[in-house]
This record gives sequence, C-alpha cells and structure tokens, in this order.
Amino acid sequence: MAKIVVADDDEDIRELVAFKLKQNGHDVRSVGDGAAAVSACLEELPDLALLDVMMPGMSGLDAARALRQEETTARLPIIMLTARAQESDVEQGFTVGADDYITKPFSPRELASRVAAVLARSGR
Amino acid sequence: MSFLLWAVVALLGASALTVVLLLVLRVTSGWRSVRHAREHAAGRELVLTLAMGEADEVEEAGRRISRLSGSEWDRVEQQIFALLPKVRGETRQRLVDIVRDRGAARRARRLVRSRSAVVRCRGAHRLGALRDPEDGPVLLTLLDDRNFLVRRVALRALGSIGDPASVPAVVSCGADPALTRDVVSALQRIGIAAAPELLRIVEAALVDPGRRDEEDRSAEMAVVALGLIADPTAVPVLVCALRSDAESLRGRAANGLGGHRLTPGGARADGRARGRRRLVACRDRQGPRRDR
Repeated sequence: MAKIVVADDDEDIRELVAFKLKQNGHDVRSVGDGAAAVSACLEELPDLALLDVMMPGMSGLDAARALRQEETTARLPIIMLTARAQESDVEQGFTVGADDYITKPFSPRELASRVAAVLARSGR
Repeated sequence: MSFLLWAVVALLGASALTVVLLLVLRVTSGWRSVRHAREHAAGRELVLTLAMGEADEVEEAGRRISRLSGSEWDRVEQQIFALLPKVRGETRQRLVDIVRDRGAARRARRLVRSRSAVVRCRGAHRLGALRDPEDGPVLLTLLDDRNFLVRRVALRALGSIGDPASVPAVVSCGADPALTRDVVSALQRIGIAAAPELLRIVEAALVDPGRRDEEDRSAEMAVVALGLIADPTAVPVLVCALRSDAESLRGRAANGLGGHRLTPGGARADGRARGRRRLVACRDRQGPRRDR
C-alpha cells in the first residue's frame, strides 16, 4: 500500500482518482491546488504525487519544480495529469521532473496501471 | 399615549417574529444542505462503483441505479453527465450505457428544442457527451442558434462526437471571431478524419483569386487546425499557403508548419507521395504569388 497525494482543482477528477486508487489499496490524500499539494507532500512525504497541470494559483508544473527543490521530496515520483496533450506540454512536464504523463480524459484502469508501474520503478 | 405604546409593542413583536423566521430559515436551509450533501454522496458512491467497481459491485450498482426515480435519478444522471467528458475506456462506456438505457438521448434531443437558451445548452452538452454521430444533424442546426452560448456548446459537442461530416459547418462558424478558439478546438478533436475536408477548403481558397473574406477566414481556421492535427499529408498544402497573397494565411501556415514540427522531410512515407502530388497541383493552379 502506498501513500499518494492527488492534486486537481476539479472535484470530479479528485473523486474518480481517489476512488480508483483506494480501491487498489492505496492511502490517498486529495487537495485542490498546487500550493496545497506541495504542503501535503512536505507533511506526508508520500510515495507518489499525482498533479494536475492547470490549477488555480500554483500550477502542477510549479508544484513539481518546488518539490524537486526540497531535499525530502527531490526524488518523489510524480505523475502529471492534464488536459494539455500537446507534445510541448508533455515535454515541459518531463523537463520539470515528472516520471509519467497522463492526459485527460483518462482511463481509471490505465491510471492505476501507470501508478503501479511508477511505484514499482521507484522501488516503493 | 396608548397608541404610541401599541405601536412600540407591534414593532417589537414584528422584530421578534422576523428574528424567529430568520432563525427557522437558517436552520431549515442547514438541514436541507446536509440532506442534499448526503443524497449527493450516496448517488456519487453508486456512480463511482458503477464506473470503476469490480464485476459484482458494478452489477449491484447498476441494479440500484436502475431502481432510482424522480429527483434521485435526476441527481445521479447529472453526476454521470459531469463525469462523461473526463473519462474514457470501459469506465465511460458503463456510464454511457446506463444513461442511454434510461432514455437520456431522447431527453437531450427534447432539451435542445426548449425556449430557454440554458436548457438548449444543457441538451447540446449532453448530446456531445453521449457522442452518437446520429445526433450530429440536431447539433448542426444549433450552430445557427440565436444565442451565442448555444452555438458555442454545439460546436464543442460536435467536436466531441468527431464526425467529419460536420467539418464544413464547423469551419464556417469561424466567421464569428468570438468562436475562433472553439472552432479550432472542435476541428482538433475531430482529428485526422477532418483533414481531407480541411485540405479541400485550403486548396479552394489558394486557387481562387476572387474569394470572399469569409472564405479567407475559413481557410485560416482550416490551416490552424491542420497544423494542430499534424497530418503529414497537409505539409505541402501548408507550404503552398506560405505563398498565399493573404498575409494572415501565410502567418498561420508558418505557425502550423513550425510550431508543430511539420516539415516535408518529416512527413511519413505514405503521406509524402500524396502530399507531393497535392503540392504540384496546388502550385500549378496558384501561379506566382501576388502581393496585396
């Protein structure tokens, strides 16, 4: 069982993701923006963070950058979840240190598989 | 004196009554919102289980949802329609199946005929979320709706359905500058299937010296969409558009080619041969570039 922080400003997405991940036995904490995601990650030191790119205030990309700069979360596996499917957006996600990229609309089953793969790769 | 006394008593009584009424309203509205939240949560649990549960849970959730009626069903249906654009695959299919079985498409078609623009928008949104190409003609009629928001939602819905038959009508909506982004986004969602019609629109604009402003605008929309769709067979036509006499078309073609790394060298082999034929034909018809 892994501890996962999910950040998305869309409540429906938060609930969908949390439901699927809890169903797979993970412990999920959901937040609604980038700043809350950074705080949650620094507080909880999760095994993985799932960040939406477009969020009010601090974006997911900024949150990922901030997490990479903190010693305790510098190696935290991050999956970006976003509606921005352009090649350049994906590239930007990887540049800030994301481990994987999932585009919306998403398949919950695929999301669960990718989470499992990223967790396995990071040895968590 | 006694009149003044009665007036003060009446005033105090009215004030006390108002305070009591306000308190009652506050308490009942609190109860109402707690009840709504509880009902919403119960419905949401059912919907999420139906969408992502294990086989036996899905069956049970489906049975319970099919027994819902009245306001309970309305709430669940609303939740399902809110989720549909956000998920895909098996999850989406399960949600679509349950609302379809309960006649959601028929109700949505009725909503688009409403006198209220808000209700027409809701109907168009729902038809788009169900993504049935048979609803395309209904949505096409909404592109001429008197209300701007209805036209916008109809465009998005046509993009969701992704039927290439709607491309000409979608492109023609680009004549309204306020709808430019929605037109491009709808064409991008239709994707590669839209490319043949988009190419035809651009080619027609490139070879017709007497074209009207609306045709220029349609060609611009088509060029932007072709760049975003990144169809390799579009490269020669976009290159050809760089020689257009319309400055905005040249700019958009350059963006389409540059921003999305579409180069003749990068075109796939299958697209290259067809593309070269298009380029030659296009240049032959276009002749030397005329500066405006």
